Amino acid sequence: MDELNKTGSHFIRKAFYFFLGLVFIIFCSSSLQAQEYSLVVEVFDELTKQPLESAEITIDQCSCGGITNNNGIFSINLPQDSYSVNVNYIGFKSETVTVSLNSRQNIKINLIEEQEQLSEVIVRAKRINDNLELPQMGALQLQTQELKKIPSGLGEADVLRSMTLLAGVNNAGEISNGLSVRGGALDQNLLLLDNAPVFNPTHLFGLFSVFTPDVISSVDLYRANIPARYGGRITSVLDIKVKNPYVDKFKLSGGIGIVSSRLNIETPIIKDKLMMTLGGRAGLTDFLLPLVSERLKDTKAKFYDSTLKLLYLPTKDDQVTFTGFYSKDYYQLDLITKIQNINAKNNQYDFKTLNGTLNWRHSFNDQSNLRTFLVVSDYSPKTIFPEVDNPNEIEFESKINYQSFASEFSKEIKSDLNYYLGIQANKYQISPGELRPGNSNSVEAVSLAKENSYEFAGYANVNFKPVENVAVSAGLRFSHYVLVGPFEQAQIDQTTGLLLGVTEFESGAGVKTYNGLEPRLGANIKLNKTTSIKASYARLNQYLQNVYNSTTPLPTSRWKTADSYIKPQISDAYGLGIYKNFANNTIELGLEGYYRDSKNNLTFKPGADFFLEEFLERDVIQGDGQAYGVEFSIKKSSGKVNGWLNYTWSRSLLRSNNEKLADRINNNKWYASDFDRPHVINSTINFEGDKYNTWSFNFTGQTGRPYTVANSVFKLENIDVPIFIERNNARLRPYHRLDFSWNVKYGEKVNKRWVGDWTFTVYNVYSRRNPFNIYYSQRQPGVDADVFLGSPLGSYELSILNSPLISLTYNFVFQ
Amino acid sequence: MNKISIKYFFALLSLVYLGCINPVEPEFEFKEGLVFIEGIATTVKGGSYVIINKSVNEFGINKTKFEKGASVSFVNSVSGQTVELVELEGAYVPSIEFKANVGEQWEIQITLEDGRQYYSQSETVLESVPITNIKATYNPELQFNNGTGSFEPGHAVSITFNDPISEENYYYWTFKSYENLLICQVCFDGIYRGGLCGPTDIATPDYFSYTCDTDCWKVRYPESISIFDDKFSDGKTTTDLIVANVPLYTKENIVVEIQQLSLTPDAYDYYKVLKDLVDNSSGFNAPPPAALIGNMFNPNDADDFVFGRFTAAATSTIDIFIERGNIPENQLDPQMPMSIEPTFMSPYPAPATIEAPCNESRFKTAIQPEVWMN
Repeated sequence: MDELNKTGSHFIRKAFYFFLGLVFIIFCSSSLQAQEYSLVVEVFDELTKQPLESAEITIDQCSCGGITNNNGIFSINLPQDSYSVNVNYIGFKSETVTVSLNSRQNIKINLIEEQEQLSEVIVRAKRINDNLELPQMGALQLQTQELKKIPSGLGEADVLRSMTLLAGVNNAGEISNGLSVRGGALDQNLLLLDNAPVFNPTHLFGLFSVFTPDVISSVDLYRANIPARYGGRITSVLDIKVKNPYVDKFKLSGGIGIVSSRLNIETPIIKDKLMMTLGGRAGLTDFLLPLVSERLKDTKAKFYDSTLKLLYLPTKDDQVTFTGFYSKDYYQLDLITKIQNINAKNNQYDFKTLNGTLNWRHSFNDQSNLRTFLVVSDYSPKTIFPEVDNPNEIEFESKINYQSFASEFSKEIKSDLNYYLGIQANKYQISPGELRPGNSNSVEAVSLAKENSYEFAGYANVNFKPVENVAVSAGLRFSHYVLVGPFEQAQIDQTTGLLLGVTEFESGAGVKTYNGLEPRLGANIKLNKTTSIKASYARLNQYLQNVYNSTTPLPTSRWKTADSYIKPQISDAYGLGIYKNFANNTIELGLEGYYRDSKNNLTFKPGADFFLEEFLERDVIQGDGQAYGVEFSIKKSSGKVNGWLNYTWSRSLLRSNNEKLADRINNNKWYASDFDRPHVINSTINFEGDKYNTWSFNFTGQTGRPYTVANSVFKLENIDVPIFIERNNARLRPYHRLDFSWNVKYGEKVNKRWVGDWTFTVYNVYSRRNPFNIYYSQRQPGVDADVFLGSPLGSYELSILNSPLISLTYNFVFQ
Repeated sequence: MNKISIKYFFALLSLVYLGCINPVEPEFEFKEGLVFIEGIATTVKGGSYVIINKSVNEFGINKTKFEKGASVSFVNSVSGQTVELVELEGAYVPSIEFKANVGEQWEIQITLEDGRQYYSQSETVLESVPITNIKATYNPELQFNNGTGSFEPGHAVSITFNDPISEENYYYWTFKSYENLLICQVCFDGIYRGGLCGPTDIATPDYFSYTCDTDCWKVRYPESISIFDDKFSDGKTTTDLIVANVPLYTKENIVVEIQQLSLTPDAYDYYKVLKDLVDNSSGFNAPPPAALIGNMFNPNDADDFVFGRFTAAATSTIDIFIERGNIPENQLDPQMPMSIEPTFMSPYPAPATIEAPCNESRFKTAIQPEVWMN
């Protein structure tokens, strides 16, 4: 028995030692296996020394990789080994380097631009096959080198006009003070320039975008499951980024064109620490306008815009940037109806935007970042009324002051799991208007009370892959909105619309609050290597709106935050799409459907006048909206001939819910909104002939804009008056246009420090006279009788262009 | 390169044509049976009327037609006094002695021949504000004509008035202009006999002109709407506010009689919609058209659209005489050479006629305007 016990205890002891040894071996083995090193890849443009965002990194041995961030950096932890790292970026020659990873490695790769390989395709995913991989739907990107080559009116590189060539993006016509995305109104898009909202995005009443062309890095448009970090508008977000000035030497670039000329400076201030880019543009050629038409002889039109970006790198883990943006317009145009009730010779519009963004990004490590920014956005439109027969000028000025603070932490846990979460606080201060009479004896000073409101938001988003081939993006944004005093709340009889009284709120008192919970969901099911299906849902709230009663707003039109009567606009957007790539991802096919249901869309009562109106809630109506459509697109993103084609079938409808007969629009039935375009086709084709010449053609065609025709004509004294019952009961003629551009680069650099190129564009090649509006006029004996025939009223079609618009711009770079 | 040649260089380069306006065939979506009522009760004797029109389709042609056979009355909302209106030359008018007085409240009641009834809401006659001064300024580029693509000459008539303090005032201006009329009748392919142009078997020139047999004045009315709200100028003097554009249709001297009506806020809103429809529809910022619905309603059917308005308003007037003989610009109306019927050995049926009477109408009068100067 003792022997047995002895043997047994010996066995146990051996087993114990064996187990200990095994644990030790396993431990050592696992310790050896866990010996990983960081591989950091930094990618730069060899010519400009600027980091390249979204360059694709492929590492052979591990079949892994990713894309560079906006600093051009990609990092990954890998076991000790030898790796082949391939860097690919559209328009640049690929580079492959071999790395022996036995310690932390930081490699810098400079890519060389290859003109003949440069894709002219405007819309492209961040990675070659992003359209198949990411759960983000409806996101489009446009980058600076592509922006400059799109044929546009008068040779101006133009962000907003270029965006209208994309599926689901439209505007109010040749002149449009904003974009309409998927049938939404112009003020339902959040336009951000380095996180600062731009309230008036155009010069010259909508002819050109205000964004200084040379400083733009990229433009992202989100129109489906809008990321949770964005909020405040119900149809889309247009996020415009200014270039980070990563420069080590002075560079001067610019261009001279017919409409405007521009200059851009990039320079280091303190080497590798503080760098700057400063771009500016001025349009001062309004003296040419009388040559165009006698009617424009009294027209004045001048504009300026300027963007400054400072980049400060205090440590290797911190980056501080400051972006300043200034835009100013001054014009006087007889084709704009004068403001009523101020006796003036004419109306002059003078408005400016001044924005500032201070942004600090701190990297805890290669996977974790904290981004914090402070934004101030100030928009001040002014109307000047020169008095009759004396030199005094009466002025009307309003203002929007927006301040925002946001902080966002983001972390990439592993390649298929990352998240971000953040907080944001916004303050809106609106000065609805102040009338300053100057020395006038005929006008009294008027000042409407300021409106102060706050929006606090918290948000989070996680991207993950629950199962192989399924990627999910789940986000949630919560917003709390409060309008605070001092405020005068009108008491309005809802039946008669009469003002019953006013309730006054003291400074800081809460007048009205709204809360919004906004889920944002996106899912991507990858059926195979080349095909995926995506679905999306997003809810959005809008607390700030532009109130106007014309097709496109004047720059002086009124902005209004939500109150007890004007409720926040709310939308629920659903999307479903199928995407397929061919020919090694160089050809992309997409079919995307959407449906958006919106509430509290703002429109106006018949005859509404918002100018210095104290209680404009009496003049507006909030109704329901619905928009739906299907977008088909095909893109070829590489090769000497590349381009894309998209076709959209869509509808955009509105409905009022008013009891009072006179306030009903189309008797409370669904009617086509101003942005209802059932059929839209856009196409771009680029021929990259050689390294000196690039030719591009754009074609766009779409159903005409809805407008309103009269249901009868009655005579009042000597005036024939058209009588209308319904709104938007007819359509203008279809809109279509072909544009052409030819970019010529200099072959040999005569002086290496000076490089020039010419851009020749023809906008509206075949002289299509696209209608902007049709209106009735009183008939005059004998005038246009062969056209008006027996009609009691005449009718005229207003077009912005009736001929090709040919322009030539010289661009240069000196460094 | 001087400035001019730089301009032409750029113009050649750009070939820009902005803001192009072209005539197109007017498009309508006519609806039959729409009723339009325009009623005015003024403080001026003979100035009150009600016009009722209805949209009809006759023989495939869409038009509006005066609604005959209606029973129309002004009703004093306080006293209940009823004033019946009678049908006269396309309007319903009260007796010539009728005039509304400041402070009174009036409404109209209408029963159409088919039994449909339309009432107006009550309107208060507000005190009129006198016009203190009137001025006419000649402008060779008074207004732009889209049809001809050029500016037209004419006079801008402006007024000065003192707005009463501490009360809301809304103004509407209309005018009548009187200019010497030399030719009272033109007969194309015919001759003037027995008050009418008629054909004749004998060949005629393209037309015969018949001069007026007395002094005669052509009457014109505004082609646009002039309104004003004192919300930015309460109690102030508004100086030289242009309220009438008088194009140079002829170079005959002209009298312009400005009428200033004091409106209620509701009436002003109505005329604002009217102005948007008539004057503000052509700009880049044109408001979408709105239904011209005023204070008329069908008491038996709340969903019946009735267009137009009844307005009771006090009126003040002022006149100005404008000499136009020495203006260098050409007149806008085409000048037709006189073509007078022969009086000696005339081949046409007797009596040989070279004159026509100046028949009174809305557009012609033999009554000399008060401030006319010979």
